[in-house]
Amino acid sequence: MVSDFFEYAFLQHALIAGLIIGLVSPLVGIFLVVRRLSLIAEALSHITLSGVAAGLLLQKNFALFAGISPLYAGMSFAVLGSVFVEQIRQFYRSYQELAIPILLSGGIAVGVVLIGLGNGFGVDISGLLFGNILAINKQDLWLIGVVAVLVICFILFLFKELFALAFDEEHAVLSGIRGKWIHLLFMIMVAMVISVAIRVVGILLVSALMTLPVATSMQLSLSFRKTAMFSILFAEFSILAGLIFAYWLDIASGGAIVLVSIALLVIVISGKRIYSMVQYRKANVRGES
Amino acid sequence: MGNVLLQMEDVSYSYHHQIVLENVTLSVEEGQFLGIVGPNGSGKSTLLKIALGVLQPKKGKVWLFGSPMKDQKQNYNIGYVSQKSNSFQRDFPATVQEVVAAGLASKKGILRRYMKKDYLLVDEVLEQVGIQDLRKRNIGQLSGGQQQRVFIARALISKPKLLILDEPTVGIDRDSTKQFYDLLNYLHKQHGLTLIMVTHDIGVVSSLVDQVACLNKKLYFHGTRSLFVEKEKELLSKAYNHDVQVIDHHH
Ligand SMILES: Nc1ncnc2c1ncn2[C@@H]1O[C@H](COP(=O)(O)OP(=O)(O)OP(=O)(O)O)[C@@H](O)[C@H]1O
Ligand SMILES: [Mg+2]
Repeated sequence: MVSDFFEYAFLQHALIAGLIIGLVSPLVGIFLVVRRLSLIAEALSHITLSGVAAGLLLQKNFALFAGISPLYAGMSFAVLGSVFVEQIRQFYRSYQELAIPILLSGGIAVGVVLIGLGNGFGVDISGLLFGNILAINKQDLWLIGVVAVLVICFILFLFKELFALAFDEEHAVLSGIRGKWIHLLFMIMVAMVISVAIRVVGILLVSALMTLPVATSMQLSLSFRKTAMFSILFAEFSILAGLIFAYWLDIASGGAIVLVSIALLVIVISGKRIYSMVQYRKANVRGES
Repeated sequence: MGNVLLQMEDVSYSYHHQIVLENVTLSVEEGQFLGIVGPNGSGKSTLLKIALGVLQPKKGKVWLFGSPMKDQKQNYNIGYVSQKSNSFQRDFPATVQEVVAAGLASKKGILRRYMKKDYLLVDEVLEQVGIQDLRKRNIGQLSGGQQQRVFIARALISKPKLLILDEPTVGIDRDSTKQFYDLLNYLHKQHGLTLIMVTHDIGVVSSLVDQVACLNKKLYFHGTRSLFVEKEKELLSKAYNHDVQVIDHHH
């Protein structure tokens, strides 16, 4: 298997893409989770689907678009969708999640209609839905790299503002932080991460990659910084292990990655249970003697 | 007479059609401790939000630190502890240190990271509020009183000239409340901090603060504590028995 890796460029592409996605997904995901907006990722991924479908339609009908990856159209749709999410969030201050079902169903509906118009395009729909990391080419890799650099810079430079806003938006805005702008930019970053991450895990599973590793590391009750670092660690592990399983057993990479993430969550939760049970026993024994 | 930090003149405010503040004129001088009392729904929190610049008065003028409200760009000269400051998610992954440091975020400015000296500042304010040993603990694992101290520390870390507290002792036990008031008294007396505090605790008003405002849509009283104590019965019955009426104003 190791020799395969050095021999085939597509395996190297897959690994590099996977590791980059494993870094940026939980990095934006942690802010979504603590702001209770996890499902936004889900909604935006559905919008990306309709964008990709639109891109495919353009590709099929206009020579001009023939060489352009439909991923760009997907990304444009996701970014527009993210701006829309922020607008709706402003309208319904205390029911912020209302934006989600609107976009979720809207995105799927448009996507289905466009795919229907293109008679299915004869493209790899299941690759779109579940990810096909082994099909990543150089062009995709560049796009993923550029997005990653943008997102990492954004999060690192605005980390303290993002944290202050996530913990207590009212107080942060009061103290002079430009919450509206930062949230808008953040949503755009989320949209970009999603539109590249779907190459790896697919539209249906992309939000899992953003939230599951975060959910797992939140179980450890660490500081915010450490929670972020452990989320990245869990995500990278899931991706590596998932890719190995996928290649080995010849199964879809997205499914394998998400299953490993879930396994990690279960292990951490049961580990915590067992640990506290042991502590409790110890305390009792000490109490009796 | 000291500097006037906050000045409101003829301020009125309404949500939709409901008038909640009517012609309130009030000033707070540097070094004063103002207690605001009044029944539920009497507009106390609204008044504070106007002082903070979150809400714009529908009528009247507000000056802060000597200049009109509109000209205030940055608010880190005011520390604020809101009425529901401990309503965050209980398992939010953050330590006391991180939460308190967040109070510095705006003052430091964009693109700047926290440095060693910022964390020393965190230690300093945690010591001031008496919880330096909780620095590394997760915020969700603290008791209500301890959390309240964290939020005071977050408000204090930017070295504000004015500290605004909206019912800071709700849900806190008697001993912690007493310690908390001792802390406010210390900040007021030793550091000369100017404070505005909304409270339902009339006992505290008549012992801790030096100025009292009694509010129920209109300002029923604004004066020194001793004057308030003298007329307390009469004032309170007037302010509290006057039902909070819903008055429509037609456009
Ligand atoms: N965001 C809002 N939208 C509409 N009406 C509001 C809003 N906030 C407050 N009000 C109304 O304004 C009035 C004054 O509210 P405010 O919160 O200022 O009272 P308060 O004196 O702080 O009361 P409490 O002692 O219960 O905290 C109340 O009648 C309330 O219903
Ligand atoms: Mg109030």
